[in-house]
Amino acid sequence: MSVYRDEQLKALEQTKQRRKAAVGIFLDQQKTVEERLRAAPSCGSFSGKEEISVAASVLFSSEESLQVRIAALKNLNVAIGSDEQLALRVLELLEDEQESDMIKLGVINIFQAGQFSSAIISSLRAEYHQKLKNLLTKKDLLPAILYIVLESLAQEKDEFVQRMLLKGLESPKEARVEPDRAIQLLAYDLHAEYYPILKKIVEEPPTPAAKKEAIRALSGDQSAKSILVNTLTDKDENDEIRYASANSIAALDSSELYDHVRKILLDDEEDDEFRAALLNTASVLGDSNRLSTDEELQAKFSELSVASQATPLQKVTKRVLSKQLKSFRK
Amino acid sequence: MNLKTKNTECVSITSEEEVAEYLNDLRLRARTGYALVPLLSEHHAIYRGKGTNQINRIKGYVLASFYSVSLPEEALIYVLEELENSRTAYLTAASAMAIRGMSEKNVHVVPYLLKGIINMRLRDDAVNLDTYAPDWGESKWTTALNELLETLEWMGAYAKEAIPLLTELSEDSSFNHLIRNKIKTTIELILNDEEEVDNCCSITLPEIDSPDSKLDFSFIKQLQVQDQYGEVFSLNDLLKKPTIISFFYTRCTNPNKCALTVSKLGRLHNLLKQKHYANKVNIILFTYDSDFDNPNRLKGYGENKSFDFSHSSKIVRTSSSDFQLLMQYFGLGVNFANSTVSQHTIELFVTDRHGIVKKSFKRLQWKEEEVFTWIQSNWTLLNQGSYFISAFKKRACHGLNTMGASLISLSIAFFPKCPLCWYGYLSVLGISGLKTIPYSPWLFPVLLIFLGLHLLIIFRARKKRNGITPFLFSTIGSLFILLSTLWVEISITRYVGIIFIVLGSLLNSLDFKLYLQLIRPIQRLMLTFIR
Repeated sequence: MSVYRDEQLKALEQTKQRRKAAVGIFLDQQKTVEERLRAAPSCGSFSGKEEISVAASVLFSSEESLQVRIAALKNLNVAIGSDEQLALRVLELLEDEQESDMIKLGVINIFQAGQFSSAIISSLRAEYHQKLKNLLTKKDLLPAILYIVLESLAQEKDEFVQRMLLKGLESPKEARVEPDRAIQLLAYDLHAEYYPILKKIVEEPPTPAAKKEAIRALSGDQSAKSILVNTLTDKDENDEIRYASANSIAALDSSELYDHVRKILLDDEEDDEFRAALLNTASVLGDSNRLSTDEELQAKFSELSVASQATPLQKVTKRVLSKQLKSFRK
Repeated sequence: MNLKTKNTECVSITSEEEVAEYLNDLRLRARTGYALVPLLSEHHAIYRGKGTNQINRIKGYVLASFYSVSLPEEALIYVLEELENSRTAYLTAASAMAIRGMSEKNVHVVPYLLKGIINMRLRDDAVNLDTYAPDWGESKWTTALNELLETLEWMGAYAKEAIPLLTELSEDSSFNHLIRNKIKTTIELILNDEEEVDNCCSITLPEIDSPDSKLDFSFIKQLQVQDQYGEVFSLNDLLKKPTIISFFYTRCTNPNKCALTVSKLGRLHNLLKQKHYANKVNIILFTYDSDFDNPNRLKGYGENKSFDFSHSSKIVRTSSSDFQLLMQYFGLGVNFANSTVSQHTIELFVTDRHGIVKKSFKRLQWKEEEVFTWIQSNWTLLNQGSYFISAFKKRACHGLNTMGASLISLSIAFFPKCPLCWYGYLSVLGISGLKTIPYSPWLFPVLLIFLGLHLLIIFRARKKRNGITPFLFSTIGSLFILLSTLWVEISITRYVGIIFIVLGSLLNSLDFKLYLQLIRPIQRLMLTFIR
């Protein structure tokens, strides 16, 4: 046991030494950028007042190479989450017009992660949100930054972001992101005022992806039931969109789903994969009691489950039947 | 912009630009806060059909406006409601700012400011209260916590009772050091303020007792309700005993509202059990969102929040069309955007054994003991008499109040307020009584001139006041009087003339909103008659 312990302590000491050397190389401005970048992953999170202070000066130095600064920022994540002054200084980078987008992206990533892990970062919520909102007013924002900023604020149900996204959906010329992405972001808030525009999108979709997202998001709007039913029963519609409608109907009112799904399952002209997916939804989210007592449907399942080819529909029907059998035995 | 016209036609204000124009104009022109108070109620037309964020933007902007135009007593309950219950930084910041518009400081608002601070812990956000729907960029910003602390600083010595909690919060790591420092500064300012505190007077909050329901219980008693187990009852069956009625919906995102209401009702039910009232009092919890909240959802939600289901304690839903009747009967403070609840207040009613509302607890958090004590001390009131007596009393009180108000209004309306009005009255009464004067040819043209002046004044006021209808009434009245004076020897035409002229004057002097309420049913009646 003591041999094992000694070995572990030795390994630990070696790791410490390696880290110390790596930190020394990374923080040494005399070394080449390549050397410093090679050393960066072995540094781990910077700790100790002096180490953090030097690493922070690397981060805020305009003379350092961008890659080295990004590496310094990544390794300062723990320090930023435990030092309010440093966190506020780092936050200021978001407002610096001259600052690189990659650094800004790094700052946002640290603050996003820190919302859950650091009391200091979560206490700076107002300051952080103000910086993000200001970033959104810049028209030439890097798409990666734009998306993460929108996502962060949309998750917080921010009214400014919701206004911006709705404006984009209403007048596509002013849109900052694709309509399907805008709908996904608005869907974080049940109370976002977007149901009327979603209905318009379903009727005149700018893209198929937008229509699919609109159908998904309408799962919170009782008044959209007829639109969803029409989409589900429309044979000319894309199956993925029809499937999304089925899920939305199930979320609104599972009893409503059964009659429509039944017709589709009994219709051999419908695509097998689509029917398999629908059956799966109906058995999980729908009214399973009605499903198991419907004789016509049960006969159809038996017929499909013994079909010569192992289609997805055959697999699902077999599974549904065996599940019903098990519950019957119980 | 004609403020009066816009106020009644707010339903047509839909775009953000229109709302901003309307509110900015109102903010600019309001000399006192009174003009803004109607905009705080959920019943105001401007909120109809709008979503939650837009409603919050409007309400917050109006609340913040009280800082500059003074906060009237009538608005205070709305401000306290937001401080106590809101989890939105914008509304909390605006309410804190509104308190600084009070003409006199009051120690009783301090607990609400402290509740606001607790609500904003880890929920604080950057807000801009200077502009409606700001586009950020370089705009000025503040935070809810900052505004709450500013208000406590403004309260000074009046906020002394906040010191223990503030001292505790000044060491709380869930606030950043900027806020902690601000808390410490606030404590110092409060302690150093030597102003003498006058804490004799509690806040005067408007008494929101039984709602001013336009509907009789007979309209809703046959409504079908479905409980958490899917069983259907008529409302009449459920309200045969004194009943506590409250409202919620499962998709509510504010833990201070629906979730807390359901839990508190569970505790209230336990209290009723302890006091042996459980079998004597029903608890009925209605969902606002009856299409979405099916029995399964109601049951699951109630169980999660420790709502104690029993034969006398149920969570129920009605059809969405029937819910409109309930909304009218209870005067509910709720709004919908499409099929989603966009805004609602906290509301609990106590009905007697005839289903008539005897007490309501609205906006501010009610306490279980408070509700029970009220029921216990008003037990006779809740059980007395027959339905007809109870309904008659309510009607009679309502009628007397309305009549009293109407009589005062009529006296004010009829009182001649300027020399020209005196001319009008003299002309009418003079000409109509002309026949009784033995010989007066010289008086006729003089009174005729007065009558003409009266008509001219009403005609010229048509754009500023209530349109052409009052003028038409007065003209018809004048014609009748002239007719009776010159040709017809029937005295009734004279009185008809007087009535028409008086009606014309009354309609002209009424507030535009009241005028519309009066004239619309008459117009509808006339249209029906014509058809």
